[in-house]
Amino acid sequence: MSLGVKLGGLSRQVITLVVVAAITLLVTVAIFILSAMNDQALLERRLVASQLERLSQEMTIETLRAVRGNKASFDTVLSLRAQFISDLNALSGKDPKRPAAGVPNERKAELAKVQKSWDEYNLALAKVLEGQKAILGVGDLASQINQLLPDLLSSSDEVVQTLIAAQASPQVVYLATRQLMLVERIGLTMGEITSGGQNAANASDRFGRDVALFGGVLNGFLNGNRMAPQINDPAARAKLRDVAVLFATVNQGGSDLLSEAPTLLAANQAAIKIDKIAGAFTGDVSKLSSTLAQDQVNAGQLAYFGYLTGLIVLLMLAWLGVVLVRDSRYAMKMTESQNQRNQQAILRLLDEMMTLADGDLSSHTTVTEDITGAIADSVNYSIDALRDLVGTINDTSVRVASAVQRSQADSRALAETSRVQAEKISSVSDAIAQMSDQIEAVSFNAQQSATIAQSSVDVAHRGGDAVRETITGMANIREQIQETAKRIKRLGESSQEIGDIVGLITDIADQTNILALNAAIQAAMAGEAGRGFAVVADEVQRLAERVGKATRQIELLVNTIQTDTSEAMLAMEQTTTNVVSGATLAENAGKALREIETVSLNLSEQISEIAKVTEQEALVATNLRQTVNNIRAETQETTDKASRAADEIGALGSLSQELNNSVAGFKMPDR
Amino acid sequence: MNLFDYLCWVETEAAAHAVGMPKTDKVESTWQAVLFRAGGSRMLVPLVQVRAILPPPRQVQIPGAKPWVVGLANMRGELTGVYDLARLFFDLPSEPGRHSVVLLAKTQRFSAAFIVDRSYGIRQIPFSAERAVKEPHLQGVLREVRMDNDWLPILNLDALTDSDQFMNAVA
Repeated sequence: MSLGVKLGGLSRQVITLVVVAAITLLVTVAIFILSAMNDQALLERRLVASQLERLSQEMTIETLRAVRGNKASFDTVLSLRAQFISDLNALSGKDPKRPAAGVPNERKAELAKVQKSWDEYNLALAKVLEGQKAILGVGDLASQINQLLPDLLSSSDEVVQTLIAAQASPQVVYLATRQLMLVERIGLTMGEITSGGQNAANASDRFGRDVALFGGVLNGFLNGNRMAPQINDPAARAKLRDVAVLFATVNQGGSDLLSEAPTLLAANQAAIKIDKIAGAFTGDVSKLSSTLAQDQVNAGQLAYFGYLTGLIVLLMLAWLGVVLVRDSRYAMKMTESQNQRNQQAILRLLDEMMTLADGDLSSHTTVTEDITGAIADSVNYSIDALRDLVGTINDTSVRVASAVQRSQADSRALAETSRVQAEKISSVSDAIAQMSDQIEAVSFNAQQSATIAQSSVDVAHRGGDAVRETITGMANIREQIQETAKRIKRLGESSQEIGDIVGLITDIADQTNILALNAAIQAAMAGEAGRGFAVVADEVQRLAERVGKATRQIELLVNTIQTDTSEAMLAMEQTTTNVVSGATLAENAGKALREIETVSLNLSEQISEIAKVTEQEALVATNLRQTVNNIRAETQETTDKASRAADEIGALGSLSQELNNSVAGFKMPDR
Repeated sequence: MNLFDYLCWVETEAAAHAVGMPKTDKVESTWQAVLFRAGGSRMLVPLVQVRAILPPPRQVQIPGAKPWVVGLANMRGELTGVYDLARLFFDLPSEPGRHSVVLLAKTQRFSAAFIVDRSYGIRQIPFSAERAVKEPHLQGVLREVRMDNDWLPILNLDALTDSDQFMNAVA
């Protein structure tokens, strides 16, 4: 028991040490991971900031190049600006792809300063980018005009020479010479406009005025106006036309250039502003970059905590080893002394069990705290069980002896009873034989009854057939009556049509009558000449009257026919109703006959069933007689066996005595 | 028996045995009339006063006329006044039916037609069978005739159309 407690104590100490070491190890790992993540974020911030610094410098250079008409620089500026905005967003923590690049709160002030500078810078940059089209367009126009200007100059020079040769007036020569000067000045002012310097605004104004003056004078030379008189010399006019053709192109280019001038001016001013603020802007960005670089250098103290906790883990592992070695040595010593005590206890228990082997159940073995304590306890329990067993055997053999005596007497009585029973069974067997003969007679009678019932079923079936034929006959009669009724109805309809025709004839007779009357009147008016015609008219009238009478008689006859047909129809309907009710009666009779048939069939089946059952009963009665005979024989056998049982029970009594003697050798404690 | 008596006997016997021989009876003179019915009473009109018997024509009513003036109709191309005899005589409306006809009168001055319920045809009237009406209460009926055990009035259309009552047709 003391060994278990010791072992338990050792385990708890070891477990505590292992748990503390594991937690310290986890803390160490966490510190190192945190430190690595922090270093990574600082590095990324520093890289982004230094990239911002580079971008700001490149952007200024490229912007100044772009303003001078470099097309590629515009594209570069655009991509640089996009990159700058992206990086600045990343530093502000607004870039979801680079969340680690966001600066900590204590560096927000530096970042805000950069943001402010950038806002100003970006505004100027947007103006420069807006002027991209104007800057590039003006460059192209200027180069085109510059190509034309030498030709224009030489043509104008030729004009001057032609005019001098033609001895033109000094005023005209002066004006032509001034044209040369104007061409040269147009070239110069255009250069100033495209360079975008401080004087660009003045230059564009001067450029416009020079071009207008040149155009006005040229127009005057050709057509005459208030600026110059018309020149009539053909050679000079030919030269002037060449000049006019060249000037038309220059004039067009010049007006396009002037229309772009405001945008160009704004872009140039923005570029000048960018040049001015670029230093401060780049300085702010550089300051942010250097601050973030310093932050990275300063970070790194966290790693020292990681080394410290790692050292603690190593120390605890060493302590754990020392504790484990000490515990194993102590456990070995304890086991050795325990083995010695166990050996002594086993020898003592063997001595005590020797008396038990000699059949002495009067004493117990000694129960100690040693390893044999539980065994001794079990042996004592066995001794108690043996004591109970031997006591029970003694008691039981005494009770068996008395029971044997009682059983012997009972067996004798049983043998006598069996003999009497056998005699009674003989008389029962005779009675059963008589009953079997009577049942056979009943079976024969039942078969006769079944045959009679079957013949009554046949009779009922024939009656049912006769009724069904009657019903079919009545249905035929009904159909014939309905057919006849239809014919009579058609007859009535025909007589109605006759009535209509008779009405028509009556009308004709009436009209004939009137016609005859009028004929008679006409004859009377004719006087003596119409006498013969009057006789004819009279005859016609008589005929018409006879027709009228005849039609009235026909009408009466038709009415009589219609009345008779209606009565015949009623009579037919009555007959049909009677036939239907007769058919219903016959059907009821048929149903009744079918029920009789069913009942007779059931009766026949039941009688047949009775005959079958009585036949089986006769068979059963014969079997019963045989069985009773068997019972009689078995009862005789029982009587014999009961006598033998009485003898064997006597032998059982002596066996019980022998059992009692077998346990007499055990020594029992005194009661 | 004297000779005259004998001759008379012979005549009687001969007449009695004269089967199939032409009649020797005295032929009674007759006149012709049209028998008709109006307002439920049978009446006669002399054939010579009737110009024609026709079915009732389509007519137009005349406003402000007596109720027995039915209207005006075109009868054989003449504008004819149509009158209801039943309403004129008995103040009964005529019964228009399939036997109704009009009697077109043969008068000198104007054309007149009378609606009657039915015309039965021409009858031979013996002069001996008629007599004067004792108390004339129907305009234009002056005589009556014995027929079928009944006295039927004879309507004189000329007398009727000349009468003041007939001429005063305005209500």
